[in-house]
Amino acid sequence: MPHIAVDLTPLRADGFNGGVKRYALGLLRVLPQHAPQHQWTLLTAAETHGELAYLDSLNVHRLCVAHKVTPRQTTPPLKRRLANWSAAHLPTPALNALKSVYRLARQTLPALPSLPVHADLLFCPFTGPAFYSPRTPLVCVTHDLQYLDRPYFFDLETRYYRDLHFRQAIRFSSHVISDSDFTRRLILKHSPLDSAQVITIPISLYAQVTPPPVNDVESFLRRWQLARDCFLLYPANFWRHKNHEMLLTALAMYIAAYPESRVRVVCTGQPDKRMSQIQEAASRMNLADRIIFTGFISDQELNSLYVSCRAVIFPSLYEGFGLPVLEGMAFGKPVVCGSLTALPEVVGNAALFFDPRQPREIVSAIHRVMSDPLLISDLVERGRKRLTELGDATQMTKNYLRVFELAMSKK
Amino acid sequence: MRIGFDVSTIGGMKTGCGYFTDSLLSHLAALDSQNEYLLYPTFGDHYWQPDWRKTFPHLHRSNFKLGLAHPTYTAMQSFWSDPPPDFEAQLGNPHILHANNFFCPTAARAARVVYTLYDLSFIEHPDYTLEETRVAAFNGVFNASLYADHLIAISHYSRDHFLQTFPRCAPEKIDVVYPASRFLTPDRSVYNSARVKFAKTGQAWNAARALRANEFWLSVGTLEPRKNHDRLLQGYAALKASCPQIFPLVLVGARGWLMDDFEQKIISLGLQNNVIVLGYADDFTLHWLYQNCFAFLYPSLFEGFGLPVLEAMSLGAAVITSNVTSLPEIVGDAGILLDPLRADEIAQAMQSLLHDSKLREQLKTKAFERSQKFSWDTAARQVLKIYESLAI
Repeated sequence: MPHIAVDLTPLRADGFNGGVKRYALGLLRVLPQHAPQHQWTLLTAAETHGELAYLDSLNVHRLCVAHKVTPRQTTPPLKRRLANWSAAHLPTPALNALKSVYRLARQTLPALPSLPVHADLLFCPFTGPAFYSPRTPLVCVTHDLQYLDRPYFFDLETRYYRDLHFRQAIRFSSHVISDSDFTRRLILKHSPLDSAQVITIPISLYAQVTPPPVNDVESFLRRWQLARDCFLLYPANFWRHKNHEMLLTALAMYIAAYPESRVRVVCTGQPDKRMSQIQEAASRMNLADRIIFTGFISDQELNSLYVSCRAVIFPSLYEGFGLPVLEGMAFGKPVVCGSLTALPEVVGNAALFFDPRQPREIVSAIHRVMSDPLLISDLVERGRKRLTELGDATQMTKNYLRVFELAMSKK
Repeated sequence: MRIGFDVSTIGGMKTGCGYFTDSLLSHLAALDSQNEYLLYPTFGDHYWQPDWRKTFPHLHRSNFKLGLAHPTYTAMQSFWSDPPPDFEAQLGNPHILHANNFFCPTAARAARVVYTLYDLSFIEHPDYTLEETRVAAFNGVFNASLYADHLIAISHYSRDHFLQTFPRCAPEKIDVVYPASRFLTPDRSVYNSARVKFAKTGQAWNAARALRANEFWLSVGTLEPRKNHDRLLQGYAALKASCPQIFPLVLVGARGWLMDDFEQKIISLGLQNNVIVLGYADDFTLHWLYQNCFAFLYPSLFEGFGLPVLEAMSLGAAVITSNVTSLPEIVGDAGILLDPLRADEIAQAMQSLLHDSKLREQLKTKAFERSQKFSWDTAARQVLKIYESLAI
């Protein structure tokens, strides 16, 4: 009876995990069901230990192992603060010398505490393991390598932690799972792992999306004064690669070209400094009544938006997978999305694509989805077909369990 | 009035933005001994000139001073992208803050922000720009549409393009100020950009000396996809096919990016004995090349202005260029305009100059006359007037 420990210590109560939270919790709802003979221990942090109670079952137990969320964006270690200080104050040659010393030093990874439970496998759905015991095989999921591909979208802090977690993952894992071949290629490029160790398993958890009760939907829409079918939904945090500035630009161009249109855009996402900047920009552009910022909302509320929007719009510049576009399809909505990075691979031909760097292309996509009912039904149909092609949750969990078996058999 | 002026681009190997800023500054210096100018060599969250100390202009005017400068890229980036509470005090409390390199400050409260708008090529041809540069440039113009008190567009084309892209921006906030050819202004006594010695400089002049006057084609512009060198080469190859005794084609400009296989392209077209890749050239060499070329070829796919064309015209070169974006506005009827997507049109235009020496002479005269309508002195006066109107 294999015992699998799952590292959920990076899970946060707020929205800063982004789509990965929906993925991880969705996966953990189905994995134990498909492997009733396995014992599952969810290693949690105090912040979200209680929130996860609903996952408990005969073969699933929670174990609170950390007071704080695994330090992802919390206070950086002294070393990092020193590095920041020297980057800001030292002249370039001295800085370069320091950097080469650091590069040498960095080849040794900080030691990880050993696993607090006895398990046959440690599974990390959040890339970087918080624990490591040499005799317990490790499987990590890497969702994207954007910090290497587009370093300028991140501050030094975030880059430091992403790099640390990725290097821990590739150093200690027997297998790494990626959501898309796009990400898999990057993992292979940036790690010594061989191609058999990196496995693509697309996320396909949408069979479980159930539309919320009509009354809940109506009251949620009333709260934001939204009318069904009259708004576009952009479910995304306000990270730089999410390209909200371009969406605002395109929306203003669209309204100028089609002044009779009453279209609105709903942006979800955890409030942060960037959200305030985007909000300020929207109000300076006279778009305050056209863009709604809901802040971080519950799954149920997000589902209410999915079922009642006109379409999901997704102008992201970078995705390792792009969960929200598939969720949109699962709710029977047309998807208009960017054509860069993993999105074309994930979406296939089931969306109306635009170049997210060209506002005019976004304008014409908005126009088509607001005015062409034939296009909408076609996209909805293609979306359904695409989800079938990608497989259902059963297949996905089978693929995960197969990787777990492989990892455990290598022990 | 105290004017804070972004000079981040005027060091190193200057391209369009750098030449604009450098020339504007030198003509403001010639014109204005009243107002105080604070020059910022490290400006914005993206562009970093590591040698700014060496290339900082030598100013012989007491009202032009070095303003805030950052020792490192990180320090610069954090100052501009995450402004401290004493942002304006650190800048020396300028009344005007003039941004010249795409980045637009958003934290100015007392200072009025003036923004030089070059172009928005990156929203039409995003693949012609490195992604990091594209992101920085787009954020710059986006913020300018929201936070700039006044914009200076280098052409009506750029101004219109900007207003189409940001329809909520008030049109009266944007004036067109044309740059001019820097080869028309011999008096630079009050201001001299530090002479940067490039290893290639001597090389460029040596290569140029081997050329015979009026017996070479010239094209100037960074080797990058936007400048359309591919079709220029195709057109040139087509011309060679019809008359094997062909003048050499001289290409001047630093190597941009996505051009690693450029030599390969030249060889595959069989042009390795005809095309001379000169690299970045100093002004002395450039001046000679413009003056002595048989014709100047500039089939660019996108320009906000197209400074090399005007420079060539100001030294009396016959010009063949594109009929797209800002180029018709600048060249008018003083050159041959063609569809830059058609290599055959390029070949045809070159042919017509070879066969019709009268046409070439006419174009040379017209080009010079038209270039006289553009003047840095006028431009500097316009800019000064904008500063004054804002500072009241």
